[in-house]
Amino acid sequence: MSRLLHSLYLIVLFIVIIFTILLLISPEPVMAFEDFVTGPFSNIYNTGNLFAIAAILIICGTGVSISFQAGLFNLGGEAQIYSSALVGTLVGLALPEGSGFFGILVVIIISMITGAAIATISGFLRYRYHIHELISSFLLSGGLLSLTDFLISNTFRDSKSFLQTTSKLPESFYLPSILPPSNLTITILIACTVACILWFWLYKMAGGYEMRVFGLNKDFAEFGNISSRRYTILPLMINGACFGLAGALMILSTQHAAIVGFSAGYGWNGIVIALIAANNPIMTIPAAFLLAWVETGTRTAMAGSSVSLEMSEVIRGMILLMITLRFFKNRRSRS
Amino acid sequence: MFFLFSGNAERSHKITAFRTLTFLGLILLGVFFSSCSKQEEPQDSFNIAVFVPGVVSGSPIYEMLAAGAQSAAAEYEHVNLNIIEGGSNQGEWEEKISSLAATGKQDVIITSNPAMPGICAAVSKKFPSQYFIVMDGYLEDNDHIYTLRYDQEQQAMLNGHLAGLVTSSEMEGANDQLTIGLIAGQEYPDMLDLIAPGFLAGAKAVDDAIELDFRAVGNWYDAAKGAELARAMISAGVDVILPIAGGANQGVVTAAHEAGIYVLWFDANGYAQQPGTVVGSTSIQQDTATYDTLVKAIEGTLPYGEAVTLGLESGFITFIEDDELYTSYVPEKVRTAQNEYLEGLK
Amino acid sequence: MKNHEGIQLQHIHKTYASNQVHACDDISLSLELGLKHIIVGENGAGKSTIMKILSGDIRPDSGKIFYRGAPVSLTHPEDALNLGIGMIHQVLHFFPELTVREHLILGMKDLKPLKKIDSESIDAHIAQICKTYNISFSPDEKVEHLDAVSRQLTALLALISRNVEVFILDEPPQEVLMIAQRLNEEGKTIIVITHNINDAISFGDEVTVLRGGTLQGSYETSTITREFLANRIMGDHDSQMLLSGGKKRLSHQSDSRDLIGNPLVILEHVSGGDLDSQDQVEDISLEVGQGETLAVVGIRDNGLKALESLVAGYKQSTYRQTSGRIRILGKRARESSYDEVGYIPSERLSTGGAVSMSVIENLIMPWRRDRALFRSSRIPIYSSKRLNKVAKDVIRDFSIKGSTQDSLLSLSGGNIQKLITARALHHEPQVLICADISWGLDIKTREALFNAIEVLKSRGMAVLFFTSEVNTAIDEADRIAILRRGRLVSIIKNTEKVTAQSIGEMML
Repeated sequence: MSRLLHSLYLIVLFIVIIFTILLLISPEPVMAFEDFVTGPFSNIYNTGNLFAIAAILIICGTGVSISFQAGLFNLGGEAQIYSSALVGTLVGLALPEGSGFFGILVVIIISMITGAAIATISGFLRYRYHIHELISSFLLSGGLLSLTDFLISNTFRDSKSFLQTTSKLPESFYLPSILPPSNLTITILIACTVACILWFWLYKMAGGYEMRVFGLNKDFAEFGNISSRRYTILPLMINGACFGLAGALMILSTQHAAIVGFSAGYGWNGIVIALIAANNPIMTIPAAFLLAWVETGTRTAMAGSSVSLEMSEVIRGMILLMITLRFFKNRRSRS
Repeated sequence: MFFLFSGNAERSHKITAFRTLTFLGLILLGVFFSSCSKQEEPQDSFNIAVFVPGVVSGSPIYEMLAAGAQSAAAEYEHVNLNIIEGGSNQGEWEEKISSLAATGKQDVIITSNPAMPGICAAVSKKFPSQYFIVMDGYLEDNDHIYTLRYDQEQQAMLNGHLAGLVTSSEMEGANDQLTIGLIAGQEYPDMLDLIAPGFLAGAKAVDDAIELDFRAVGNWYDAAKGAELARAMISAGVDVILPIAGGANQGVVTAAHEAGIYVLWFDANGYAQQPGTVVGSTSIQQDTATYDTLVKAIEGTLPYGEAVTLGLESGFITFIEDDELYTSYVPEKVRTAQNEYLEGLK
Repeated sequence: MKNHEGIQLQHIHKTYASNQVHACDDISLSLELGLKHIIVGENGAGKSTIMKILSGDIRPDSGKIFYRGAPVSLTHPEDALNLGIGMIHQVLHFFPELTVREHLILGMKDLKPLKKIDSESIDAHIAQICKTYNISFSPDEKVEHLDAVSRQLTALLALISRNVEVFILDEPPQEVLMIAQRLNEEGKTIIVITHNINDAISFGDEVTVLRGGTLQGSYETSTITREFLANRIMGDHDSQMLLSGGKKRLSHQSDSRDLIGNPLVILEHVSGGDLDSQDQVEDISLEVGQGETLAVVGIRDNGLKALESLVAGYKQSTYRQTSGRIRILGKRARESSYDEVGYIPSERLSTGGAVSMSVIENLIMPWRRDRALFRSSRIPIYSSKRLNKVAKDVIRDFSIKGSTQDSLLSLSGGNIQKLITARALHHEPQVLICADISWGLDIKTREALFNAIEVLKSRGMAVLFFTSEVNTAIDEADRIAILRRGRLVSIIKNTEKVTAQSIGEMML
């Protein structure tokens, strides 16, 4: 019971803080607050988008959970999404126009392979040369982000478009829509399936068991003859493949073309989701909805009342800070 | 000594997970209750949303858009104005404008950017009853979209002519080589088809031997890259540069100032950016144009579906001659020649 | 009242909120300063709780504490440390990345954020303490690389450097007890929590017996016998079990002891170890036959750990075999399956299991790919039913207290040890490699474990037992191999003539 009261107390605090910020920065704080809270549910479009954002976040969060469970830190999510989305898009553009389902499948698989390959480099460096994957994935990501920016805005740029983007994929590559006119497609189903499969693997199958042991206690893993090579590389590979999948789904369902910087932030948000969900793939689903709600809420607050872009970022940052603080506080031990 | 304490048992993940659920559930409950109490807007008001594809502050063209919209809204009591910044992620613009349209509350959404007609047309397919006004863009035959653009070719010709005068002049920073520079944020159709050719044509009106050095930064914010490109141009013999690269312009000005060469400005009065370095400036009256268009929209007289192009004769494009920094830094001979060209175009 | 200058605990009550266990029920205790006190009792008798109260780690529900005649309020371990009372827990919490020196600095009282740390004088101080008490380890060692004993020594060092007068030691290993003896000779008060009656009688001046959270009495060791103490600890009914040590068992086996069965473990001129430390062995040759226990006794960091690791084929990145041949069931170390060669590592929490995983998950480690645990032989998905069945069987067979879904950390030390032993014995291996399994166990548990090993031994299992406790070796082994500074001094038959003293002399 005290736990519930504690949660309530925090929610009240949470609301007071958001409201205070809005009071300070918005000419119409009450309306802005209302838009923030109810905006995501005020029409089908926003609700659909909330689901669409949540779907991508679930996939990213699940992927990060896997590498976290193995005790590995993949900070290269940004590039793993972005670069693999570009590769997927280019492959899609190279395929015949009416490729349909087959084309979608090829784009998804190619993107997943690309994401996995990028992440695997860090895993290999960790295993073979003891270079910490935290550093290598981050640095690699920095380089790849710039390279991808360059490729989109130069080499593969659609010269007919006013945006810095590749050409659009033909319509046969669009994923079936669920809640038109919103961006929601079957991604949410794919995302939940991925989360469930990985949860099952993690908790119900020998491979996942071995990986968790490896993440929790390397000595115990060695005691049980668990291959450290496999579980240094495989989790990052899965993580990278998830990011690749997220990138491909964003292209196939929402963007239909690789636009410069379109996926910015999802790599980091994946980490936030994994932290909130305590690295449990199933729990990434509510965690992703929470974050998607914050995301859509800030957007609707911005659309509905005069909250500037920077201020909406501040509010979102505050909320994320509070959420993560809350979950870190729970984990802190007494000493 | 912490390591001499006995530790608490680690909390199980299940509890954390349970808490997440409780937390989320309570929030959703709160959302549900507050949406029940939501009131309807009064029907007779006229709502205008200004969608800025980027950030207002620091961008003259968007500042003018906002200012024009604000003065139009101030004239009418029943008009509500809402300015929304879309941020620099181009991939999110369509979604953000869609979510504006999705509210169904906006009588018109006004935005400005050559890329926006395409995006608005896409959103219009999803929300067919929504009206759009796109400034600085061009799209014909969509009966819910009104576009208005400035004749950028003419504007570029004005800049180009001054560039030609400067590079062939006796001014201190001008060299013997007849090369002028244009640095763009990125290559896009209007840039390649209108601005760059216009700029060169203006210069060739002074001397047919003048050549153009054109480069693109690749984005609209990287001042360091802007400066780098400017330096490369300068070492190749360029002595006057027109930057159209957003935030990267600043880097070009810095590099030009260091090398003692000249910079021209596009779209807004830029003399004060670096007196003596910025020696010419064209401007568009986006604020007035926005005001005029919105007044028509509020009055219900705006012909949606039309695509208007405003030229020099309309008065919405000018070359700023009456700035003190222009008259004091640019020799009279050059100014006279430029004035003749300006009058000739009208 | 006597001992006005000592420690007095009066009417201490403590009930744990989490499980409503009445850990201390009106305990009143007087401890004279300068003596060696032993607190004995079974697991769960309240020994650790009452001492955690005295060290300020746990606050009592009611009761008073007096120290040197004055009432004291202990709300935090720091309060107790300021009075000169310090405790070393069984499981210690460290910053694995920090070195021994840094831990000592963290424990210093006059540490100020902006004050420069004089590491030279600290090093000199550490060196001096190490020299005085004959402790050997480098202050630059990271704590994560230390074994359990060295961690205990680090904590002890920290207490010594804070000039603690009253040392409370929860189940100390032999190495720590040896230093405690020296400290006591310097006039310090030692309070030892233990299960080991032999230690209690040979080491202590005064023994306090707790049973089920109540005080059974305090006795001077010179006036009591093992039988009496056992009786007080367990009650009349079970005390016979406590006294029937391994000796009794050995006597009926003594006829067959000369006939070593078919050798299952063969070591020929084995050298190697952790080449960066003293933990190395040289030229070790021995054999363990079917149905016999060979105990290797030695000091942990002087080759015992190295030999254990080499034979188990564990931590091969640290412990390297430089020469010689190891054959277990005719195969190299690690090549046999866990069902053939069981291994109970000395580091039971760090190597033997993953503390935040459940009992089931810790249990199935060796058989995680066994089809018997899957839903069907074709689909490699665990069947909860089958997992539970295996776990419940083990829990029942070894009478482990705890549910199959609980995390390992929620089990008591004894139950964790039982679980790890159960895991090693579950599939009746032909060879068992085990290290120090009796450390910190109460007599009943210890007896149960050794009995289980005994049953398998009678079916032909060979046991290679690594220990630093000479008494355990004498109680349980058929033959004893004595290790000194990484070399084998001798291998003797464990006859009635063998005494702890004679072996101890050979070890040092």
